[in-house]
Amino acid sequence: MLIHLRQLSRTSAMRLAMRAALVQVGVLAVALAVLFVLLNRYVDRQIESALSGELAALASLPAEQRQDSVRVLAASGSKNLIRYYRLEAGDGHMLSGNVQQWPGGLPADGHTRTLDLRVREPGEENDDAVRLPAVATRLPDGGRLLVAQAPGALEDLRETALTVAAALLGLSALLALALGVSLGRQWLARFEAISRTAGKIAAGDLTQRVETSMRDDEFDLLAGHLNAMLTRIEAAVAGMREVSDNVAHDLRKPLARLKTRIDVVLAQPRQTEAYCEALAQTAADADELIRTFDALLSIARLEAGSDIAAPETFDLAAVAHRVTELYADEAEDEGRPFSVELADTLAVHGQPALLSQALANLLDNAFKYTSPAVAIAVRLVQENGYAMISVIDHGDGIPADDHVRMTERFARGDAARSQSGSGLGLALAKAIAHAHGGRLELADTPGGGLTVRLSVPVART
Amino acid sequence: MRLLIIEDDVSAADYLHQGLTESGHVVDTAHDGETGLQFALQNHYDVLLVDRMLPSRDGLSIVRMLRADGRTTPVLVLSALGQVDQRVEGLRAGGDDYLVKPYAFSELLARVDALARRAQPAEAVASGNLKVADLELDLEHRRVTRAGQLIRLQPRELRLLEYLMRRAGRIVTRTMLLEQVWDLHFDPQTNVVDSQISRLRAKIDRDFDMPLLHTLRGIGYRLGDEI
Repeated sequence: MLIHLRQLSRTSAMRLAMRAALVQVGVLAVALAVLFVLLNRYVDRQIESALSGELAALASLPAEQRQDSVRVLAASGSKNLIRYYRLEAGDGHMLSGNVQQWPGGLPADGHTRTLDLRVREPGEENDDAVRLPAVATRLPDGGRLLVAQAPGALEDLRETALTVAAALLGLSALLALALGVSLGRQWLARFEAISRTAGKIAAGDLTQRVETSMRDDEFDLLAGHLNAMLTRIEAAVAGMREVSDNVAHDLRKPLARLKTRIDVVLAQPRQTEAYCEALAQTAADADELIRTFDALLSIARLEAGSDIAAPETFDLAAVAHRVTELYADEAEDEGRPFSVELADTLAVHGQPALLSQALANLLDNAFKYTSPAVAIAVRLVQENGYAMISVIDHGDGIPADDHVRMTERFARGDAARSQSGSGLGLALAKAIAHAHGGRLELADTPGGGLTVRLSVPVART
Repeated sequence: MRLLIIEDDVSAADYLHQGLTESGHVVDTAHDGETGLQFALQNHYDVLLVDRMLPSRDGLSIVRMLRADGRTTPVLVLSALGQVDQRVEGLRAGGDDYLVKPYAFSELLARVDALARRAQPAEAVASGNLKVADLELDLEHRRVTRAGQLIRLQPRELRLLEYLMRRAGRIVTRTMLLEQVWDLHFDPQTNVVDSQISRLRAKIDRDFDMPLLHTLRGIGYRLGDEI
């Protein structure tokens, strides 16, 4: 046997099947017992009435005829029905019959009793002692008549019933056991399949998937969920790998620049101003690195689902007003059309500093990646229980296929390739939206351009 | 000024000690929370520089103990916990200002300076007028004049000017302006602060010989008549 029996006996399927089998056998046993008791009573009653009938019939005969009848009956008897008789005269000697001795404890009162009799089988010479139901009555001439019944067809019925019941019980117990073993093996086999896959995945092969059958049962459901989870994990790991590659690449660039500058400046003696200049530029590069690190840390912390520190319920319109005010002047300086339409008040729950940062990131992008002639609009509206901020530009836009990718870390559109910036602004804004139970979506602006929508749930009052 | 640094990173504390001493301050240093708290309770300091995560007693708890004891000494909390929401949390916990590591030393110096002045009674402010050279701000009527000439400012420009005038002659950094004038606890990548400053400069300096609003490259801004 492939699967060890001990292992099998530990499966929950096996245990369940065994428990069900025990209950089944128990119920069957009780049912059979009740049936047997009823059958027993029926058999007893049949024998009783047969004996009483025979007794009454013989008693009603005239004396001589009765004596003859008893003799004939005692000598006959079929295989299925053997009866024993004893007809006594008033003085106690046997007139006819095959019961050799009047049994003690059998009064001639017409009530059936089961007791020991000494009988002689028809055609035999010796007496047998047997225990039989018997009935006796006193006759009008002062004699006594006894009729007893040997175990015949009715008694056989009783025995047969008992045998059948025992066989049924045994058979059903065996069936239950077989069912348990087969269920357990099936269960174990499918479980092993999942377990094997899990083992391979644990060993590092994330491309493995749990096999599913066409049965659509609980195992397939579980396998489906596991596979969905694995797909998610695989994507996350792939994303993580991509992110680390990007982090390495994006941090290497400013680090290389910084190192080269230091090397060049140190290569020969210079004026103090040259050193100051180099140090100031180095400090600026360090700031850029710190900003990238901070943004990465913020995204990681927000995505890890840890709670926002110091949350409060606040007016998002006031926050949006403060942030847009800052950009309105910049737009004016550039000669850029900039319009702001904000709902009067819109209470949301979360961290105002984070949401102002998200909005500022969206505005930074819009200002950086469109030419100053391009109009930018900011809207804050309430929609379906969400406070929705849209930053709408009428620039070149981003191909719809790239919309989702642009919210990933270090993703850059064509417009941004040559520009400075960490490529983390949208990713951070998205992480902030998610941390507030909201979302960030990119869409095409009707007539051309990009619309970025950030929505967070309106606070329940 | 007399300052106390409570910082468990010994080399960071030494660097701070050197920088602050060179800037003319008298500096004490403690390397764990309990010692720091004892120093702060036994001596008078103008500003405390407290690291947030310290052995034996954390920085925010030192601030709470001092406040419970009735000490109003300004506290600058230094921390590596730099996410925007964590900064807000640090300020709420009783610190007067919050600076995230790594920080620029000039930033730290400007903030220590601002905190020390905040603790001093402000006489000029009580009079209802702020005055820097020939530039005057009438706080009650929100009116700005320079050499008697009325200058029209937007409300947000006025807010910025008021902040600079209250700190006349001292350096204010970009992040100080962002935090304290606009309540933004992060650094937008576009030059919104520079653009606000140049707008203000255009209004208060352009038509006059002596510039008042100075940009200190890589450090911040200063309003005043000394160059």
